[in-house]
Amino acid sequence: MRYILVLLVLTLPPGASAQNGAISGRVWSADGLLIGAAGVRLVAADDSTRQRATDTDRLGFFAFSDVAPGGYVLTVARIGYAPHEERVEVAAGTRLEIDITMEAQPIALTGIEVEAERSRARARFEESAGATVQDISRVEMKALPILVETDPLRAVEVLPGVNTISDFTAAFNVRGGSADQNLILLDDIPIFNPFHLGGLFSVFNADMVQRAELRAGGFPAEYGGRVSSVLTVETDVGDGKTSVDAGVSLLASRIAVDGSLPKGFVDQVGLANTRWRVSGRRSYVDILVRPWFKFPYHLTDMQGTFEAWTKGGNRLRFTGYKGRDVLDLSDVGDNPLPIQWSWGNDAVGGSWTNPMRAGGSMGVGASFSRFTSDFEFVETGSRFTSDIQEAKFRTDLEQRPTGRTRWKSGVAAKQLVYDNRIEAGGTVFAESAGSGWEAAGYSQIHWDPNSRWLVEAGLRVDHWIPDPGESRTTLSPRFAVKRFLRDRNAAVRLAGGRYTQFLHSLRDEELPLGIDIWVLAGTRAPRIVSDQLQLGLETFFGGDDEWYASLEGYYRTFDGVTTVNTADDPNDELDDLVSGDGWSYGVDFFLRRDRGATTGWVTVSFLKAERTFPDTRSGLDPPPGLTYPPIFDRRLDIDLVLRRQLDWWGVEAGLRANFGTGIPYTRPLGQFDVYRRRPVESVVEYNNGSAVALGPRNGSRYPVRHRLDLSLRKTIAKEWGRVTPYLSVINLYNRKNVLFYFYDFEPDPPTRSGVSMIPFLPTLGVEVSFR
Amino acid sequence: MSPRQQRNRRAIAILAAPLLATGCELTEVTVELGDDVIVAEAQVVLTLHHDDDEPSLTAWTLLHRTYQPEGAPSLSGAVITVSGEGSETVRLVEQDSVELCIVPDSTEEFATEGAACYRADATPAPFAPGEVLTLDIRAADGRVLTGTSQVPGAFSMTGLTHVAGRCRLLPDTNYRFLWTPSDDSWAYIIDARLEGLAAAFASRGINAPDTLYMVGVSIGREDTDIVFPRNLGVFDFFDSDEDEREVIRALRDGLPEGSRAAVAITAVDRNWVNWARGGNFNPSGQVRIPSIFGEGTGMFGTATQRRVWVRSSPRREGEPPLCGLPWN
Repeated sequence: MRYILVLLVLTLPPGASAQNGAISGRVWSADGLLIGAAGVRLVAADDSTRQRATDTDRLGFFAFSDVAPGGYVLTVARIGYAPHEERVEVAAGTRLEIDITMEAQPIALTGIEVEAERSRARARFEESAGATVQDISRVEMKALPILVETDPLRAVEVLPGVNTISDFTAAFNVRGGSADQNLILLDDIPIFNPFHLGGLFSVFNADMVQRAELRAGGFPAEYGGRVSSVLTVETDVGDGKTSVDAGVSLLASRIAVDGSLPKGFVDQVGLANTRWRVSGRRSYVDILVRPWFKFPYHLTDMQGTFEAWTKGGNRLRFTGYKGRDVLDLSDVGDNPLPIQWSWGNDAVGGSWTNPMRAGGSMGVGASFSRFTSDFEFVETGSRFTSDIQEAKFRTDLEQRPTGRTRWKSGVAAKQLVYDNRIEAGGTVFAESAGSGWEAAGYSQIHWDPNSRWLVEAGLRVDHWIPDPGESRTTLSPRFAVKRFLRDRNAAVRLAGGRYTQFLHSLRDEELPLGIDIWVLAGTRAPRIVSDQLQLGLETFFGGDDEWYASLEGYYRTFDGVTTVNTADDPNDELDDLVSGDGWSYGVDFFLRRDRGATTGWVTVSFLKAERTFPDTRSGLDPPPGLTYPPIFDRRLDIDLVLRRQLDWWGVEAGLRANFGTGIPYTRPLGQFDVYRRRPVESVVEYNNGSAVALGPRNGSRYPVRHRLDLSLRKTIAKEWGRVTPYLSVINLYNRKNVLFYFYDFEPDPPTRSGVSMIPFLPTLGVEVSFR
Repeated sequence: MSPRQQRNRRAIAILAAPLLATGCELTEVTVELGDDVIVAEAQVVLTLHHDDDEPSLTAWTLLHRTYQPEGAPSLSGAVITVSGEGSETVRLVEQDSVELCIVPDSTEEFATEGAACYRADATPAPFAPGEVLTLDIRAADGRVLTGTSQVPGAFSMTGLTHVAGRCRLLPDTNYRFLWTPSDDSWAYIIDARLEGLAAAFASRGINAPDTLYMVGVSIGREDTDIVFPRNLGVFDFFDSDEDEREVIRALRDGLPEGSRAAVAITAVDRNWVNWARGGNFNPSGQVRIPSIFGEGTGMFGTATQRRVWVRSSPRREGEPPLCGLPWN
């Protein structure tokens, strides 16, 4: 990396911009909030093709360096605010500092949303050297056809490089990484198992989500903890005005209320502004049918967020979440499986951010997150419990030493604790517990030496102290270089780095539903180390950034991935897992249109992945290595997403088409009777089932998958707000995509049946907003 | 459709019931015949006697195969031998009926074409606990299968009062059975054949079968106790009908007066455990981890065993001594 930096410096033209100026400033709301994520655009007054874009950071700061002297039009756009436009003059060798105030725009206008999203895309292009970032706003999520509920995690699966193995789980895989290698953050708080119903839906209530942003690769040194991707779900804290959003789907009813603290109180404590938003969601089938019978399942979510701003622009923010799924079959008729199962997440976090005069900020945050699961066969006392929790403290400092450099560094400390246990009949069948401390530090620099180059370099240090286990220190260098082309409308980028992870999920990814059971790296499992390299080309084209396209290839290695050791020695409490390695490579293509009557995108993702593990199924000792494609090795995955406002009754239509080649599975070559031994009688007993003689591991593939989904939404404006009924249809032409094959070799001839993915499934719902 | 097919489909239906209910069933198509694979289930058990240092040997092997059309050749005529580390070799003898390897009341389900049963008994056993044994199977059609196993070490019961392995339990009382660790064992299977239940439970209005088989498990070499009969029957519960479940529930408080049981504590080896617990998920059936290799698959498990015969009675006269102290 050092050589690359030196090389870059040597290739820079001297004095490229000595006579240029700079512009920086902050964007405020009329009621004293610093506005983050606003799109800021600078267009030359005499040549509209010369334009720059950025977006404000969390504290409303923006900056343009290396601006040629002259007149410009500066525009700022943000959902919820009226667009701001003003003319500015930049003089040679000077920095122009501007404070901009935006007026609230109570009614969201589609044009503003599009403009704001487009500006974010342009700003990412101009400001990020290497990270592969895509985001989906709440508006886009709601336009997507949905499986009963609008779901931020399911929305992510239409992004490039993202792959799912089943319609029945919202878990996803990114660029050949397993699902447990995705860090899922709710306002910087990790959510360990963000799913309801064993994976069918995520825990995120779309009404509380501002946007979901996926970093699929090349993410900088500030991100640690997972090796494959980072998904940030950003809570919408509202605009401070009292309003209510409610909705009913076929699954659940939900409500979100937002507002602010009384102005007198806010003034009394010396704050400039406060905002809060709380929501609740609950499935209701069990309540509706309660007079007639007991429905065994319900889910609940509660989420809240609070934000306070001081008059000096300091921000305090708190987020909390509590969710629970309860499946109670202990009292349902003649049920042969009397089980009680309760699982869910609890998370809370807070942060304080202090803006600095010349841009940048200092932030401090703390969070706690926990996932627990308790599964019990009531009659027998058999019980399976799983628990993981993380407590974290972090502080970050971002500075802008010069107009061309941003430097960010931080430290974090966190403690993780887990405990998993299976017991039945007075015997503990499996047990693992442990804890770990992680101390991490990072430093990263962002440097734009001139208008043609962008360089990012960083180093992350993770020191992991497991119990049980030996301490390990991992250095994770990261780098990214971007070379702009075509007047900064196109770019070539190269990024690479090392990524480290200290926990694993034992979830069997071959099961369509299930929950993550976490274990920490230590004596039972190694850390995962992934080295990654990616090279891409991206470009805007068409008038006014109408189109965006990117093509990116990548190569990743994974060292220390784990799987359950199905042949573990009960006398060795540390061999429950076996570790292996893997690699993946692929190419992702992304084409997006943000202008015009029809907007949307198409993604084409090619992937090849392999894993190598000791073959514990072989029965040999020691087990030989076995290399095979993992279940998420879908070689080709194509998604088309379209959104259009129809002339017909003002209905907004959304469409998603998906095509994917088949994922691998292990084909049985035959079946035989299962017997269990009766030692007291020296015989065996037929045990009511069949076992399989298997072919090569994941040596066969299911047929191609394709599906077309459609949604229609009609927003009816009322004096008091709006009503939005919607209809969504999954699998419009009822394609029978394969979930499982069941082979039955007993009849003559043998047969193959199976279960398909979700069939034709229409769903209705309504959303109501009171303003 | 055979009872087995019905049960397999029932299992599939339970697994995928919500999916099938939503119209997710795929059309059934025919596929080519499955491979003809010999499956050998071979076990050697050394039974330790309470009043004799010499163990006795029971070895039995069920040869069956993956499902084949009617008329598949018989697996009779195989030569099956078990050899120890020395020169001792035991040859298993083919039996007239597979029912000598399989619990008779489960054979109505038995449909594997051409299965055959082989057995051998020897007292004293020619092998010792801790010895490495080698299995050699030469099928009549020339296919050869082999496997090896180390017999778990000897162990003894602790705190057990008995006469020739017989002792008495107070009615409706649980007892803790303890034993010393068996070297190289991976688990202990504690199974029991209970008798006299119908009469013993009649007065309570429980419609019990006269005999009932129940099993419990202790995992690992050091897990050397079990509460009898409370900890047995956990796995049997799910396969039982409602009458049997009621009996299993009642037995958690102890054996009813007048009932009796043969109890075996069996230390089993790695192969036994691996075959019993299976491997990863596969929707078409359970995945087994084999310990027999070559031109077929299967399990060659070895075990060391002790047996106890118990009777539930409140009286001392004419009865063996109490097995030990009741478990609270």
